[in-house]
Amino acid sequence: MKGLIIKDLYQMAKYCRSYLIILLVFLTASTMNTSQWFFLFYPCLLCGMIPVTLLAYDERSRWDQYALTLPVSRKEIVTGKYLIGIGTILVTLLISMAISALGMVKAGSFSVKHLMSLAGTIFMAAALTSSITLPFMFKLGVEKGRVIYYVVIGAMTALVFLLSNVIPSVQEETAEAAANAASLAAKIPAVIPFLIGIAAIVISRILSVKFYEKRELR
Amino acid sequence: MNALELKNVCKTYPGFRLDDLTLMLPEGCILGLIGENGAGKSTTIRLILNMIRKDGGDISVLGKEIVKDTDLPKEDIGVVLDEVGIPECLTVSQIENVMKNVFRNWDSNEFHRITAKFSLPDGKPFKDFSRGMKMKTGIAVALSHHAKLLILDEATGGLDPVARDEVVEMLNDFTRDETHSILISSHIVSDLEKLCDYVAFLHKGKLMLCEEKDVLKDRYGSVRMTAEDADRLDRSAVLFRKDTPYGTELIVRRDLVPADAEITPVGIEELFVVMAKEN
Repeated sequence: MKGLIIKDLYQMAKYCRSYLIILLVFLTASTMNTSQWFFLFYPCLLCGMIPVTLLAYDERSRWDQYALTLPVSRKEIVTGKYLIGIGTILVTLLISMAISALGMVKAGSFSVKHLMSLAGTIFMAAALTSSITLPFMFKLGVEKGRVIYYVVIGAMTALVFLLSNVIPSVQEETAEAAANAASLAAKIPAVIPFLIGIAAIVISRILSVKFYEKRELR
Repeated sequence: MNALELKNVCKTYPGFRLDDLTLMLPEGCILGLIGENGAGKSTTIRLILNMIRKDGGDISVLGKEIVKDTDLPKEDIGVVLDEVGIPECLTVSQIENVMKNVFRNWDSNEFHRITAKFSLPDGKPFKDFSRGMKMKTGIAVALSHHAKLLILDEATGGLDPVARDEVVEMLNDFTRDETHSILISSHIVSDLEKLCDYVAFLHKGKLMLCEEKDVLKDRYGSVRMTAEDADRLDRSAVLFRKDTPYGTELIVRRDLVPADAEITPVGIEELFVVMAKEN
C-alpha cells in the first residue's frame, strides 16, 4: 500500500495545487471576516474530496485497471484513498484551527473547549461529505458517480454556509452572542462530532471495500 | 505444470459471449492469443487477472486456482495492458519509486538496464511519451520484479518495427528460463508468429483452436493446382479455396492430399483469416 500512497502523493503534488490556493484564499478571508465559519469549513470540505479527484485521474489514466494487476488487494486500494482523505482533512484542519486560534487570541476570546468544538464540527462535516461520496465512486466509478459528488458537495456547502450565519462566532463582540456560543459549545462535547466523523469514515470504508470488491473493471 | 489453465470459462456481456473457453499454457512456453478486435482477447486476459468475474469455468494461474482476488500470485506476474495504465504525471524515476514499494522482488538494476536499453527519458512525464515509449515503460516494469509469468495485452501495438524487434528479443530472453511463460495477445500476427510456441485463435468469443505452432505448420499447407485437380481432392482436406484465372489456390490439410502435391508452408495469419471466415 505504501507504493499506492506514494503514487497518490506524486499526483497530489501535480494536480492539487489549486487546493492550496483555495486554502490560502479562504483562510485569509476567515481572518478578515471572523463572523463566518464558512471560510474555515469550506477548505476542509474541499480537501476531504481530494480522493475523488485522485480517483478521477486514476480512471483517466486507466491506473484503476492496472492497479488490479499489481500485488495490492482491492481493500488496500480503497484504504489508501481513505488514508489520503483523512490525512488531507487533518492537515487542513490543523492549519484552519491554528488560524482560528490566532483570531480568538487577537479578539481576547480564546477558549480551548470552543476551539476543539469547532475543530470537531469541521472534521465531522468534512468526514461526512467524503464518507457519503466515496462509496458511490467505488461502486459506480467517478464518471457515473459525479452527480452524487456535486449533490453532496453542494448540500454540505449550503448547510455549512447556513449554519455559519445562524450560529454566532466566538469572536462576536456582543456579550450575549459570546454567551450563546459558549453555551452551545458546552452542550456539545468536542469528542462527539469527532466520533461521528470517525464512525462515518469507518462505515464508509467498509461499504467502499464491499462495492469495489464486486466491481468489474473493463 | 501449466502456467495457465482455463477450463470451460464463460463470460457474457450484452451483445458478447465468451463461450466455453478452454486453453492451457505449459510452463516455459509462449502462447499467442490471436483474434480480431472484439474477439474476446482482452476479456480473456481480464478474467485471468480477476478484473472481471467469470460466469462459469475454472482458471488456474501458476498452479493456483483463482477463486478470489487474493488467490492470484501477483508478485509472480508481470502485466502490460493495452492502455498501460501508468499515471500520466509520473516520470520514469517516480514510476520506479512507486513500483519498488509495490513489488517485494523489485530489481532496480534490471529496471535501469531495461529503461536505458529502451532509451526511455527520465524527467519527462508519462503523458508526453509516444505510445511506443509508454508500452516500453510498461514492459520495463513487468520485467523488473522477477515475474514467472508475463501477460501482455496488445503490448506490441504502436511500436515501430525496430522497437518491436527489441521487445520480441527481450521476451525471447525472458523465456530462456524454463520456469518463465508468456501469454501475449495481439492482432498483429506476424509478431506472434515470430515469438510463440503455441497459438490460440479466438473469433467472436469462441476458441477456434489452440495448438502448438509447429504442429499447425506441419498440419496445414498452401497449394496451387488446376480447378479439376482441386475438385478431385477430399472435401475435408480443403480449408480454403480460391479460384482465379491462373489456377486454384488452396489451404489444405497436408495428410489428406496426394503425396505428390507441391505444398508450401502456410502463414499463421493466413490460416487465422481463413478459419475466421469459415466460422
